[in-house]
Order: sequence, then C-alpha cells, then structure tokens
Amino acid sequence: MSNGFFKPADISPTDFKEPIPQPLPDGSYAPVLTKEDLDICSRRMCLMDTVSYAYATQNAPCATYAAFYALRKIYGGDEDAFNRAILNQLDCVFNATPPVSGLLLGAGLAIEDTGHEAGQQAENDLKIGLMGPISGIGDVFIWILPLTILGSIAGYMAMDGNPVGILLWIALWAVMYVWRMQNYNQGYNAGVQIITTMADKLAVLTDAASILGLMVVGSLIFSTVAIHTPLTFTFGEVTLPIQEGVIDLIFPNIMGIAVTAIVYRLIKKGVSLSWIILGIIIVSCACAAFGILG
Amino acid sequence: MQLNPFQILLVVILSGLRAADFYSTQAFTYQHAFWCWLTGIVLGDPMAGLVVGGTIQLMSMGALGLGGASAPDYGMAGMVATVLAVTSGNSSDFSVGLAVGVAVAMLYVQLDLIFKIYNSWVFSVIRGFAAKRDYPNMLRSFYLSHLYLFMQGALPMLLVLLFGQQAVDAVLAVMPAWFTAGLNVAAGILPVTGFAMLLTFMPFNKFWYFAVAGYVCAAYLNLPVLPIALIGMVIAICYFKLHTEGVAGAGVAAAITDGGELEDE
Repeated sequence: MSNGFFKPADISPTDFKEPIPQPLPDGSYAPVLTKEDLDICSRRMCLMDTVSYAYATQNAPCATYAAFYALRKIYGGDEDAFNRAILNQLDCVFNATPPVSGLLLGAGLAIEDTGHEAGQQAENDLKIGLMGPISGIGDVFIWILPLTILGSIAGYMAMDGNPVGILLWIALWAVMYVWRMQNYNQGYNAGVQIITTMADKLAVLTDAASILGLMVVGSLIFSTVAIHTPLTFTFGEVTLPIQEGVIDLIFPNIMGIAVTAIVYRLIKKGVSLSWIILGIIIVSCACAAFGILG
Repeated sequence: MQLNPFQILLVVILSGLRAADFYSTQAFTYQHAFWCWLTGIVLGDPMAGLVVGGTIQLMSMGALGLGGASAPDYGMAGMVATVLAVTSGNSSDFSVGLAVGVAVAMLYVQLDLIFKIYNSWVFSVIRGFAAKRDYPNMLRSFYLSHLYLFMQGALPMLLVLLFGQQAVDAVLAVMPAWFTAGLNVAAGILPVTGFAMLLTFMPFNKFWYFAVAGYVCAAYLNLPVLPIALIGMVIAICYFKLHTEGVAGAGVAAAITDGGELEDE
C-alpha cells in the first residue's frame, strides 16, 4: 500500500532522515501539511473508524492511526518529539461520530502543525471539548436520519422484494463516503472558530430534517406494523368482522399505532429493549392461542 | 435445501466482512437489508434475503450503538434468519428463523462487551510498541481488532450453516402450534420496537403532528413511502427557510398565507 493512497510514498515510519524542524522567531513553526497529507489522514480514518474502541481511551488509537504520517511529516527528523506526539495522541481520550470526526481532528492537526509540542495541550482541549457537540450533530445526520429515511425506504421496499431502496441507500451513502475521504482538509482549513459556531446553525437544520424523518416514521408505522384480529361482532343474524368492518374504516391500523405508543412509553421509562421484545413474543403467543390476534 | 461448500465459504466470509465493516470501514453499517440480500443471492434465493432483510431493517430502526453503547446486532440476526429461511426450504414462512435471529442479536450485546474489553488489550499492545518506537509493528497491531471482529462474525455463522437447520428442526418438532402461531403474530408486531426506539431519538414531543401527517398520507391517501418522504422534504425546506431567513421573512410569509385565505372566502 505504498501507492500514496493510505500513506505518502516518500515518508518511512522507520528512518528519521529529514532535517529537524526549526521554530520561526515567534516560536511557532511553518505549517508543512498539504492537501494530499490531510486526504491520507481522512482515508486512514476510513480504515479505522471506531474499531479500536475500548472503554478507557475510546477512539484515541484510531485518531492516532489516521494522523500517523501527518505527525511524521510535522516533526520531520525529530524522532523524540514525534514519539511524544504519538503517545499524546494515544492517551488523549477521543470519541466522536467517525465519519465527521475528521473535521475536528483536522482542526486539531492545524494547531499542532504550527505549534508543534507547544500546541498539543490546545489540540487536546479542542478534541475533548468539541467531541460531544460534533457527535451530537454527526449522530443525527450520519446515523439517525439516514437510518430513518433511507433505511425505512430500503426496508419497506425490500419486504416487497424490491431492491431499489437498498441501491438508493448505497448510492447516497457513497456520496457521503466521498465527502468524508477529504474531511480532514475541511477541519484543517476551517479552524477552531468555525467548528464551534457551526453547531448553532445546524440546530435548525436538524429540526427541519427531523420533520422529514417523523413524516416517514408516521407513514411506516401504518404500513409495516401488521396486527390483525379475527374477532367478529355478532348481532343475531348479522356478523361484523371487527378489523375490516369497524377499525379499518375509522382509523386504519390503529392497533399498530397503539402498540407503538405503549412501547415508546416503556422505553422512555427505561425498560430495556430485550424485555420489551420478550414481552411482545409472550403476549403474541397468548393472543394467538385464544384467537384474539392472528 | 442443501448448500454446497462454496456457498458456505462465501456466506462465512460475508458474515465476517459485515462484522468487521460495522466497526472499521463503516461503508455498509446498519444496512442490514443489503447484507441479507447479498446472503440471499449467494444462497440462490435473493427474494428470501430481501424479505427477511427488510423485516430486520425495520425492526432494527432505533437500535443504534451510539457513543460506544452496545446495541443488539441485527445485521447478524438478519443473516442468520436469511440462512435459516433459505435452508428450511420454506422461505415464505421465516418466523422461526427470525426468532432465532433475534435471539442471536440479543446474545451479541454480550459479545460486543467482550470485544471492547479485548480492545483494551489491543491498546496496551499498540502503546507498548509505540513506547518502544517500533512503529511498523505498532501500525500492524491495529489490525488485531479487525481480525477479532471478522472472527466474531465468521465463526458463529459457520456453526449456524453447519448445524442451524438441524437445531431449528429439532425445536420445531417439539414446538406446539400456538407457539408458531404466536411467533407469526410477533413478527408482525416487532417492527414497533424499532420505530418506538427511533422516536425517542427524535424531537417527537415537539413535532408529533408531522408523524400524524405521515400516517394520514399512508393510511388515507394510500401513498407509498417515497412520495411521502418527498412531501416531508418540501415541509423541511420550508421550515428551514422560515427559520433561517429571520423573523421578517416569517412575517411576510404568514401575511401572504392569511391574505390568500381571506380571498378564498
């Protein structure tokens, strides 16, 4: 993999033959990272994401793996400083939504690129301080909304034997993937301020996108939850099936809505999903045995 | 249905890749329907893969492992259910396979815990090499996590492929009719858990009326899900514009709507 896609062709992880970087008169350093170096960080992050998640340091090793060659370039021939920088990355607890974490880690590398070791404390503070907010946004836009909208379209169509929804999801996900394969650059160029203020503007966008998500969920509760009762009313000669004759004429699939509301309340009260699923299976068996549902 | 060794090998590799991708490359994370479809194609019954995958996809809606939380592994559940649905030779009735799959998903919550503890050891290896300045080995040790994940997906799948059908048959032989009927009913209700979980992530109390609008579009207007998503998109854009173009813009928009209503009268 020395083709320059995941690592730069001209930097070796073993011999430190580059000159030792010298500070400018004001104590800072001339930045050395190029667009290509930061793209390599983004691509290396794609290999890792959250694979090293451990409870103590969380995703810090993934961030280290991604930044390895960028740090190697920043510290040049100064092997001791490079080693301290790697250990600093490994020990700085980090956990953010992986596809967007490049924005934050890129901004962090921008600090280290000019400040070197003097910038590491500011970089760590930035990472720890903003990993929560950026994940709040990232989780909504990367996981919750695509899963709601694209996932439900894909799942709903697939249940009818139609793979178009799955292909649509893959296509849109590919667009996101192309974006994230350069997002260290955006973080690096945007710098600290923009990353901080971005959160406010995105709140409205999150709300707007939630509206779209809720409409889809509302429609899908109707069309995918299947609860049917074979019970009938009998008035002398007249037999009226409750489901087709009464419920579906007024509120189609109201039982699905009711069960959703009950489960929603239970989750809000902190009942674990495993118990709810077990409960549904038990109640289903009981109702099926007595012919209430079927 | 009897599977040939090549199919078994492919499904085992697929299952390992899915598990590794879930944490590492995240190219097809949570796309359970996609993985089930692929499994179905390998096993020669793409339709079973789609139907099982779609069901699992909707069930899993709210089951996200965000912020390091452990969630049931519905991807594994879907692939197991697909395999059992195809091998049982009766892919239209997959409720038993689904029940086994859900049990597997619940079991995987524990395996996820073990994986994260295993990673603590991987971290000590990585940090050990870093402290010794052995960078090539340090970079290699990262892939211990990928390897573990691949095995976590592949090995249980091998067991399911080799012994799953016998196990399910044995269970079916002693299973009373009311239980199979109950599982069929439960398969229809279980998607509820996904939607309910999802609603807890969303601003449901603030915007519950948009869920009602979605229900009306589907239940009374009989619209499929794609046009409903497009209507939702239009409303979302209007909401975004009203709130970003300031109070003045919102006032003008309200005045125009009011005027329009008056003219109609």
